[in-house]
Amino acid sequence: MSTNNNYPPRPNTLSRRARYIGMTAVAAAAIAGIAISQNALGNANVVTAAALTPTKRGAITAATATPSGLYVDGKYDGDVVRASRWGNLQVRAVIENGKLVDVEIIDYPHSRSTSQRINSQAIPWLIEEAVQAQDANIDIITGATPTSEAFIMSLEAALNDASVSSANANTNNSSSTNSSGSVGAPSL
Amino acid sequence: MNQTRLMMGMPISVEVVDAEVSTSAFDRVFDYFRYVDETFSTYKDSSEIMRINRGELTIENASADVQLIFKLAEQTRIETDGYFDIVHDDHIDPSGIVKGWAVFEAAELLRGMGYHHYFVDAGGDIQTRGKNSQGKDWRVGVRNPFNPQQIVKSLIVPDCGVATSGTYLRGDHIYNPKGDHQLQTEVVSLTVIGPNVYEADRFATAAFAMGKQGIHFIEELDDFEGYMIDRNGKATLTSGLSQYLPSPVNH
Repeated sequence: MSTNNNYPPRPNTLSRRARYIGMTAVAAAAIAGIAISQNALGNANVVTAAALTPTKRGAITAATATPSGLYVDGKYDGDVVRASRWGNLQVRAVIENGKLVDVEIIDYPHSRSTSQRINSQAIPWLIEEAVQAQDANIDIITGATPTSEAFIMSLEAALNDASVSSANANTNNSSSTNSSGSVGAPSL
Repeated sequence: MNQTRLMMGMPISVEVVDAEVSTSAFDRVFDYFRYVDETFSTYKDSSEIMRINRGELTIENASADVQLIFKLAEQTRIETDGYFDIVHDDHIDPSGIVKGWAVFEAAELLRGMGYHHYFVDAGGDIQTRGKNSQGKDWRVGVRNPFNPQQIVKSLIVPDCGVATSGTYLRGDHIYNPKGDHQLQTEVVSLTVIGPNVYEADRFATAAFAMGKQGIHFIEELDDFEGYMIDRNGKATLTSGLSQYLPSPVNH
């Protein structure tokens, strides 16, 4: 790999950028809290196990990584894990018929007031359209995913509690106050 | 042949179409990602980044790759008018640049092994080369940020890098999975296509932090195109994105 300033080597990425900075008028505006319109929420309230499968060709999913009967039915809360600088993240694994069927986020990073630059200059050649589902023949998926290191770590702890061996030692398989570590957690 | 492993907190998928591919090629790629994780993780106490954050290691004494990432991050910070910054609250979090860089280097590993048709995908940051198993250009679907089960855009991306920066919605709160920049609420997903995933990723990260202005930033970059989805479900396309869209007859 190169250690020069042009990594990876290619010419003049920013030739138009300098002009752009010059013409852009930016203003600072404070955002008071977080407001998301209801119609934008869609079905994103709960992270389903399938959401852990971003590629249709992916060999590993939360479900396939969980052999049938490995877990005891119930709901298990994972560790509270620090999720970068936004705060804490904690997930709840839902086990039905011995399988992981759902992962809910029960604690999440808290917003904090911040400021944002906004651009008042509209540039007319951009194209706008409403998003709509496509029946697409695709190889790979890109997009914002709920997966993160904190997410995985908390899920591992929850699944560790849900495991059969763990249940033998603790019959309360619907614990909601678990804070045990993730040692020996199933490998996801 | 396709393998997916969960590493660095995300699924990492590698597919190599070339007939002569061996499993050892996949092992080399995943070993590389393991090395990257152990070096740059902000969750593993033994990583160089954590040692730097604890004051136990200076950048000057860090490994060559860590020094390279710091150099690239600083270069990107300047190029993006400060929107890209790996320093938060006096702590270093280079994840906004390491992922795309690692995917690119992993693809370079495959190239070095003589393969021609493959992709590497780490949590939606993608490098494609050659053709898919049907002999066609690779196709990438953009996930609907409001419904993870849906695809809202299909992109034909031969020999390209693709990266998406976005928020994940939870109730009336927003969670930035990358956690690498100031929280903004107007834009929920910004997909960038570029000549390689390293640059697509760093510019997606920076442009996302700019809010609605970000798509204009991408518009002004040579060789980069973007697809932005705002919180009301409206998409904005850069003027050249059409070159990556399926033609009506093929769609």
